[in-house]
Amino acid sequence: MTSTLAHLFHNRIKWLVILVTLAATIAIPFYLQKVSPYWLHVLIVAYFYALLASSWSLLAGIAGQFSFGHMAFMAIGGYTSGLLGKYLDFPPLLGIPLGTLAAGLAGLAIGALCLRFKASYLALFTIAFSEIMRILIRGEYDITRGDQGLHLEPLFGETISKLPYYFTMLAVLVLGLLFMYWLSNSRIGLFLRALREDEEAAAARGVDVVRYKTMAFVITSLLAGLAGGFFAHYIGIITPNIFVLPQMGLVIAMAIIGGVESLIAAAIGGIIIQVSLEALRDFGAWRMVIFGALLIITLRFTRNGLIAPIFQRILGQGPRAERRKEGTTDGV
Amino acid sequence: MEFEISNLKKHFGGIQALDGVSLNFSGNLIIGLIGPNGSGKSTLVNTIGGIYEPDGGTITFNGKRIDHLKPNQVVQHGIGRTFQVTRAFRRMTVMENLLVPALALYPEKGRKTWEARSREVLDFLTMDHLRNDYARSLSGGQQKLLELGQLMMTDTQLLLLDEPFAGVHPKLMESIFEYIQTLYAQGKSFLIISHDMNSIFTLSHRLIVLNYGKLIADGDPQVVKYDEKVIEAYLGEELQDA
Repeated sequence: MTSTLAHLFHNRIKWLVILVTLAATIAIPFYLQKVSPYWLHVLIVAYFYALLASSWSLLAGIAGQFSFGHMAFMAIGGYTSGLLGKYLDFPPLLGIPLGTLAAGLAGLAIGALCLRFKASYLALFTIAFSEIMRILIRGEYDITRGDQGLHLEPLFGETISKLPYYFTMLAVLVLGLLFMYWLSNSRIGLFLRALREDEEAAAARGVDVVRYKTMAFVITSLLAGLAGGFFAHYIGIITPNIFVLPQMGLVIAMAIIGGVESLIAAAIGGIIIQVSLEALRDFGAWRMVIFGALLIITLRFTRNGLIAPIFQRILGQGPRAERRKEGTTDGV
Repeated sequence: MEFEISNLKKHFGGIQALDGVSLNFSGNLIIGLIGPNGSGKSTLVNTIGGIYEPDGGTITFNGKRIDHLKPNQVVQHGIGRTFQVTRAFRRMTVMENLLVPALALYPEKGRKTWEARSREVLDFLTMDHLRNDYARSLSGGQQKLLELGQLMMTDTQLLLLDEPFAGVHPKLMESIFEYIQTLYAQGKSFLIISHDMNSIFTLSHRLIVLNYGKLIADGDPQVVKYDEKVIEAYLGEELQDA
């Protein structure tokens, strides 16, 4: 009887949190549009980072492939759409899917090349790939406009309102999260986690290592490319600075502080950190010191982030023995 | 079931880990594999299991060559293995650990079917109460059982067990011993590496001994036990006392 009541109470809290969040994400932009469009812009950028952080957490936290190339795939999505628009007059609605596809194909190539790499080699390889891409884009000024940046056609014409962008980016984030959530709970997600734990043992249990490692790279690259395409058409310009290494570090910090093994927690980490970085702008470089310290604390004391444990509490997830014996927070 | 290894060779740099090993058997039996440390026992299991590609020789299972297959393809053919140091998926639950091989090899049966089957397997292993626990929270012996459970989820005909009794509590060791006998009675065959002489001599129908990558004895355990080459190469008097 007590447990049934507790379950009902728990369910109510869960649905209350979901409804309040939903209402807030719909109502806040209308308020901000009137009061401060700048903060609406901040939220749009935050959703962009949220999708990048959660898709990186799928690759690194769930599939166990620590890549520094995620922002490069994002840039491939943005640049492909921009270049198709500039040279072939492709509209954004055609350019974005083609950019997404290009990022996926690049992910397929890099994923296939990295198959046998263990963690540190994969990290080094993807840093090299990302830097090669960046130097190439900077160097090919005649095609990409280098550091000057490539101008892109706005997604919604010359509209001044940011609301269409807000809801588009929100929809892309929510659909991306739903897809990743489905994937991580499917048999594919099960295999990806098995690969993260022990590739050789997973292979000995029948998991096709080549297939699923490559799949992880392709899917997360597609999502990064999609985010890049929308973002570039929202900002209206894309430069190689968008995927310098510190930007990649920022996405990794967002995922880790949120909770690298939880897609939703990583996304919320992305939103909170991006909004906080703007809110703390008066602190100048000190805000980076604050977030650096927060990252160190998270890595040292809460291996699955600061947000994921809260979700575990709200949703009542997590294997029994872990809570009973160790009190750790993995597996949210 | 027919299994044949012919003139199998594997070297690592200047070390000849397997030097022309040949072995064949058919039907349902338990084979013990013993030998001093570094004699090539685990290399043999890793080569059969597809982790190492042999430098020479062939491995045939039910008439099909399997010596150049990847580990996931070897298990598809009906040969499963456990590891010397357990390699359960530590940050996954016990049930998820069982679902991985089942869904990888037979996805068409669906998750619900396999979840039901995993409960049966866990019941058999008296581990059902642990199904929602992370594998890393299990004891070493329980993790050995979990690996055995993973093999039971598949249609494995030949089970390669690498040190199934090492570091296991005596009570759990007895359980593993019984499970092996039960599975044997159900038609499974085993190739078991063990340094636990009592268990290996009691369980095995046939015993093979490796030394420096060469097969130095192969036959009835009670005969092999008194083989001079075996006594000289492997623990001397201790083996005779087992």
